[in-house]
Amino acid sequence: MSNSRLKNLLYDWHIYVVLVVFWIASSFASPFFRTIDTFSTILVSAVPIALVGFGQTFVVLSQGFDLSVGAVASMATAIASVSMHWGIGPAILLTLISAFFIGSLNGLGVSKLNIDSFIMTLGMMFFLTGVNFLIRPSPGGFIPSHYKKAVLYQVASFPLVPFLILLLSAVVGILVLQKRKFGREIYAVGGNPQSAKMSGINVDLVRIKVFIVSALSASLAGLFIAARIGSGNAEAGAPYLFDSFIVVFMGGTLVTGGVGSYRGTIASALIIASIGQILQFLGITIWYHFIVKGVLLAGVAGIQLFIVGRGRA
Amino acid sequence: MAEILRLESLNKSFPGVKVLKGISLSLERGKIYGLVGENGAGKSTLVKILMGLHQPEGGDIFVNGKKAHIKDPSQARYKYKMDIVFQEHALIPQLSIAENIFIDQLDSFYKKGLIDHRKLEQGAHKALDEVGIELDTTMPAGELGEGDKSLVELAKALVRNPDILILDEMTAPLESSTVNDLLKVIINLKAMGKTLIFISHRLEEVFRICDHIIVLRDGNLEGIIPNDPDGDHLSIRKKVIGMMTGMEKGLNFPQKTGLKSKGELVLSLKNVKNNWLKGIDLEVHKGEIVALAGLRGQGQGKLLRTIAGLLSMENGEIKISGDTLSADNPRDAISNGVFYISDKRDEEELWLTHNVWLNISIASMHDRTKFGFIRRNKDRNAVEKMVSGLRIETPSLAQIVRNLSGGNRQKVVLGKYLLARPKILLLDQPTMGLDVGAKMEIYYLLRKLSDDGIPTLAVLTELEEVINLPDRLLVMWEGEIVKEFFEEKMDEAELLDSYYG
Repeated sequence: MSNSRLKNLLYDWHIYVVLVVFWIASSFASPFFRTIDTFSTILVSAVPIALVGFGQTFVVLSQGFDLSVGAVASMATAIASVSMHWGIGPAILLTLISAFFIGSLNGLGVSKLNIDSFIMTLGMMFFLTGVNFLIRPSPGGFIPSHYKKAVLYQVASFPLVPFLILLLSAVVGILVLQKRKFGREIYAVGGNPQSAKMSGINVDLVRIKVFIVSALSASLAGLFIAARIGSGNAEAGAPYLFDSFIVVFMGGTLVTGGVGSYRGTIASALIIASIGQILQFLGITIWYHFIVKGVLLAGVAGIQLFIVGRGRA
Repeated sequence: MAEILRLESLNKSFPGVKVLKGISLSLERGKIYGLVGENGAGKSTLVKILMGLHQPEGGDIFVNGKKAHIKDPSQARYKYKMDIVFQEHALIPQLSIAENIFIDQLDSFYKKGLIDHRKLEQGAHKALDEVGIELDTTMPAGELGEGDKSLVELAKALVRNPDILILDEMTAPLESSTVNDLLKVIINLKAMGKTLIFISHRLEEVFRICDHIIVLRDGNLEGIIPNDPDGDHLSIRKKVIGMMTGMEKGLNFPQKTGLKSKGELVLSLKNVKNNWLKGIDLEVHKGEIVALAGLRGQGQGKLLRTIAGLLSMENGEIKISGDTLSADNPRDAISNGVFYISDKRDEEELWLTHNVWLNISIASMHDRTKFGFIRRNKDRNAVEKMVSGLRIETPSLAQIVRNLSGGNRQKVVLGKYLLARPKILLLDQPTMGLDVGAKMEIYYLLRKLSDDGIPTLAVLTELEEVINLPDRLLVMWEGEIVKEFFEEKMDEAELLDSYYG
């Protein structure tokens, strides 16, 4: 095995080493951490983080930012809470259609009108926040209990359905990015848009598609959040905006695009969810969570550049 | 003979400059065409139009006798069967070699909806076979060496089975042994009935393989000269160079007034070394224009940037009027009156969206302040004097620089530094992208400045200016100065030979 292969392998998997080390250290730090209940809670709280991170990975890989993921997730809770009395299926469909529409708008603005993705999606975030309050002025609404049960379904206190959602997102995310034309084109566009254009790739279409993926996965995160909190809330998704970026960058995806993976994102989602747990067990007040997350983001990104350098697609 | 491609009065301009001025030509199937011309002659623009990366403003393109509208590269590739290997590598560094070769047809390797990497690698190996190399096709393209990159690009173009293949400066980064192999591959492609357009700065290569040589100059077609690859190249070489440089037309360069009279020593370098330079000694005196020439990327630009303190120095000494400059410190260079003017005029020298006034005033603004406030009238007068002195054509000082032509932009840059009272100017390709008239104005301006006591050290690339402008010419090869010329009339052949070390 050549040196560069070893380096790449290390780059691809080091975040899992971090995850395992973190879990072991936490188990020593607090006996509560070693229980199945804790593990279940971590899995459940990792789901929405991983889902917003899913789309954000696609967008960042293509050299963009999506600041609207939190607002889209909030929108999903709001729409679900006002439409679920018509039936769960129609409510989910309505949510996904709205997300598809928003993602297309983001993508069209970024590709066809050449608006910087940061600005386009920042505008979309504010716009949606307003719309969310129109739909759901105060937290509440109707989320049927059998929907909550189904989404959070447990077997012997193990959250089977959340686990399957994570697994499915991992399989889909990894296969699409590594083994589908669309995925490879995202790396091409993010790696060098000019080369991608010369090579005959429809750069605009790739950009539109990543924003659609992002909005759809954020809305799925919102549908999961709605099941957890049992209501709609115009701001429930907001904290997930920061989480979506922290997991993408911690997972080794470069802010400049073209390098990274969903594999890294999902491990980081588990780390972020675990941090929330361990800090709680250690009795540390909530505002320290923000400090820890902030330090972690900069720290991990810095360390991985220092140790393994730039990775590959 | 079957015609495969015809251009009829093709026109194209970019803001401030006409790049193609009515190009008409006709290419036959199964021939190799050399496309030559100096930087800015329009070669790149022409091939970019053929690949659908630029749209022409006027004129028609006919492929196989049918009128063609080439919207984008994939249309050029699949509808009109034209492909290109670009000077700037179009490989995507993060993707594997195999993925790069089949980048726009990865879905044809699907097995159950996923890319079958084994089939993909097999296809890539077969494609590389065609150009005679073997590589680990799972390796990221970014890890390839320059020579292999070019061959992978060629393989990438060939899998699409083009009728017309454009090779744009493909040999530029290659060593001569690799070039020989590559030329054999190209001749082989011709035998398969493909039409090739071969662009190279190394004329020797062009004469060795081309059937016809298309010469462009300042956006005009100067002629198509038939060539016998096996024949004697000497007379045809002279003809081509004459057409490329326009020397046949006898342009009037300024007198070389700094030839004999050695003025006061301004700049001296002793044994300057770093990553790109292997011990440079040189001197520039008052009244002189000194030029650095040679093949592209032999360290000419790096030398200027090192003197300007923009690149670090491992060893050696740089003195300006007797004072030693501290290395790696552009501020020290500037305060000693050493001004570097980048070849990336629009990116590194100008604030394109701001007006002429600000652009000229900005480097020396602090000279015209009182208690930290700019003295508006004094500032305006200084800038106005510069604008009229350099004859910058602008309706007013409030004109946005983006709206000026290339020549006037360059004069704005010169004005900016002249106001800061330079002792010497370091210019990297000062006439790049300018048309002949504007070039001439810059030449006369530099001459006048050196006569008035501000000497110039300039990187020059075009043969015509290399021969006619400088009092002294230093040829560089791999980071060293290998030859010096100081004649009134230089010998072209001797000069070109010196380019190859």
